[in-house]
Amino acid sequence: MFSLSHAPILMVVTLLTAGFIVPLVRKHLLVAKALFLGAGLLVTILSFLVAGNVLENGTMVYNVGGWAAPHGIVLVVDAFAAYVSLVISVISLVIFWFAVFAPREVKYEAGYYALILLLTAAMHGIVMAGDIFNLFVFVEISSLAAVAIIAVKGTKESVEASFRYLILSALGSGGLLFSIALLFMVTGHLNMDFMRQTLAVTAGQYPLNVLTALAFMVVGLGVKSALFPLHIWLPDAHANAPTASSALLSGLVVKVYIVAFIRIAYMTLGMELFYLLPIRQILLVMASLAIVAGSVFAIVQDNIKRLLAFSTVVQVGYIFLGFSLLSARAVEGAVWHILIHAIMKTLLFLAVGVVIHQSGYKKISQLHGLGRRMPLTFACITLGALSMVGIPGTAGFISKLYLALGALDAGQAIFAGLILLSSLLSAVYYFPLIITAYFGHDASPTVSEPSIAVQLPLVVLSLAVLFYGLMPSVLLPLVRQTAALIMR
Amino acid sequence: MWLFWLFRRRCIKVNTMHDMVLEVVNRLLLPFIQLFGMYILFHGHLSPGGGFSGGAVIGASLILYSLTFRFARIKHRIDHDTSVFFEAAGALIYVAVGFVGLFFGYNFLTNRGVFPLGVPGQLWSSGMILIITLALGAKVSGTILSLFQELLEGGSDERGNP
Amino acid sequence: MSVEILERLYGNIYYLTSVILFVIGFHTMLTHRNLIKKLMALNIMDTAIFLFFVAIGYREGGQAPILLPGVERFVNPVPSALILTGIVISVSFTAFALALVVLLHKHYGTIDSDEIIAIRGKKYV
Repeated sequence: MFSLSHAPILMVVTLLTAGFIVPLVRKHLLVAKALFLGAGLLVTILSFLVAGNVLENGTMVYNVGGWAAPHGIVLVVDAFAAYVSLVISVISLVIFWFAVFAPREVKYEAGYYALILLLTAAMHGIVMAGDIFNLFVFVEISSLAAVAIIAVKGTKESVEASFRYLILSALGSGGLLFSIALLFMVTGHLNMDFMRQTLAVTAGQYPLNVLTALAFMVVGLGVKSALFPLHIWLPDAHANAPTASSALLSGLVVKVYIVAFIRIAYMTLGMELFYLLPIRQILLVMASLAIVAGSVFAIVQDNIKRLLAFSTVVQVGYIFLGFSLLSARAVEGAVWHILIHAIMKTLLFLAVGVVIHQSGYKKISQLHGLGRRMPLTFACITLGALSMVGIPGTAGFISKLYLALGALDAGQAIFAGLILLSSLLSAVYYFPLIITAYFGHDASPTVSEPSIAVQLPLVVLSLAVLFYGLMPSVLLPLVRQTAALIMR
Repeated sequence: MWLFWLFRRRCIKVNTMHDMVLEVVNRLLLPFIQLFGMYILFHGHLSPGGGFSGGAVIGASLILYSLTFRFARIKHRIDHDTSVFFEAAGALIYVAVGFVGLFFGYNFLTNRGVFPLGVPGQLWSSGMILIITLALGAKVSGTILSLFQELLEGGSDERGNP
Repeated sequence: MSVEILERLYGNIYYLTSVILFVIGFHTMLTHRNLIKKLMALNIMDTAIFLFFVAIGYREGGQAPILLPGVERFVNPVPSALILTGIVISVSFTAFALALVVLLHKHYGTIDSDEIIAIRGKKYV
């Protein structure tokens, strides 16, 4: 009865079902936790199987209800979807583990798990959706759940931040829906493959519709993925969320919207449009601004989590830069960066969350000498920070190298210089954290390391940072195929 | 006139407990509202309407019920656990119906070949669509009611997911 | 000439209305400080988009696409079905946002966005 062809839908359905069962068993917290972790583990195994199958046999198409493409709902798992859903499932499994074993920060734990499960299900759905309207529905579910996992902390700041995020996110959804309406008007299809084929014929007849749709979509998904001038909700939202939520939001959620943008703008509207319209130049400018301004804002932060949040703005700029440079290696670099930034930022957010919980200090200037009290945690933070800066031997170096080489390939050496400058700036804002922690007088003898179960995710992620820094060839075939698919 | 004043004062006095006009009117009205909601649910595959519309009508009737009788009869009140249960049960039935297709060797949520389709235009037809509509109705009415209850309880639990 | 423009406007009356509604919603959202009003404006914007989407599938004199004798013109059912989903999403967005407003009022004692920012301290960087 079970064959691998059903795996894509099972991934989404498992997470959704678990998300509905967990609140029902909220009285038995142990069962809820087991279900939560079990669902994450099952989905991770399925995503590995799917990725292997896609590498071997090419794109998988799943017709829900047995109805084929133009009329039915389909899930399309190509190399891009397989890669991103692999990243989502592995990183989210680590975060699930942390959320279960870390000291509790939220009042309603079962409800929190259910929201995280819904968010993860929606992320898988966004990545695999074959038609544009299902993509929209999953974007909405993930937006709501993302706002909710900030608000569950219940503090003054987190409620305010999540409300602002909700309003801006709803604006973004409106833009996205408008652009879908305009595209539906031109093509009469919702399936992305058929849309692409029809657009090749009709886009020339209705250029205004396509142009407006593209504009609405850049704004809509730009707000959600915190592209620079539209990022104003991000620092507050990511800094005031519970630790596991911050990691999930910064590491994965922001990037999933970039994936949605790539799916619609690059893979549905088609590359030809990019040579006709100045959209690529606009994206390049916005990405460069994100890199420079985000770094400058990060330098002046004293609150550690806000620093990390601004660093996310910078990294989103990197990913958009790679995708809009449009040379093979730049796109590969951006695809790499989706994975590598997810690992690094999750590591940093989790480790900083542990430090904040153990010591009660939220500011860099308070960390004097904590590195000697919590050696393992600060070793992980140091590794993450080095990788963020892009020191050779860590994972961050690989994606930056690809991006810089891609910029040279595209004949725009200035962007390679920009990446270099940004590495320098990120050293400026990450090194004070490490230096204050290791040097300076030891003022807090009561602080100690957390339990081993809490440290396990940090160690796993640090090993992943080292692993991809030294042996990047493991996922290379999938990344190559993805880049080729985007550049098609 | 004097009678009116007396009546009015009595009303004001018991205003926080229960209002007789509301109770009587609602007792008359509620069965019809719910019957109409059921009609929309059961004819979801035959006419405009279906899971969401019918569920919304039933959910609204339940909100009306708990608004009117909330203070009067505590034990008759539909509590939060029940609405959450209906919410989850609707979704789980939907998924279970989806898996039936999988068990028979078809794709997820397959209708043709798995469920008896019946004659188009009759009430008992269209295979799983009717089951799904009913499940959705349960989910939507449960969700609407639990949203209402959560807002009533002062937004203490921030689960507002669809 | 002007008759022609009027005719074209009349031919696209649904699209025109939806764009006007959208702009009204957007303007209200930007200029009002009351959070409840902001939410109402958001709903107006959503409604405008729904109207736009449904108008794509509308045909003059069309009926619901159910096979009944004597009915020949059908409206396109796809946009309506999609917009039903959109309405559900908009409802849950609004419900969730209202819950957050309740919480905000509990924490800050006001639902005026400027006052909330004043209490919290301006911190955009």
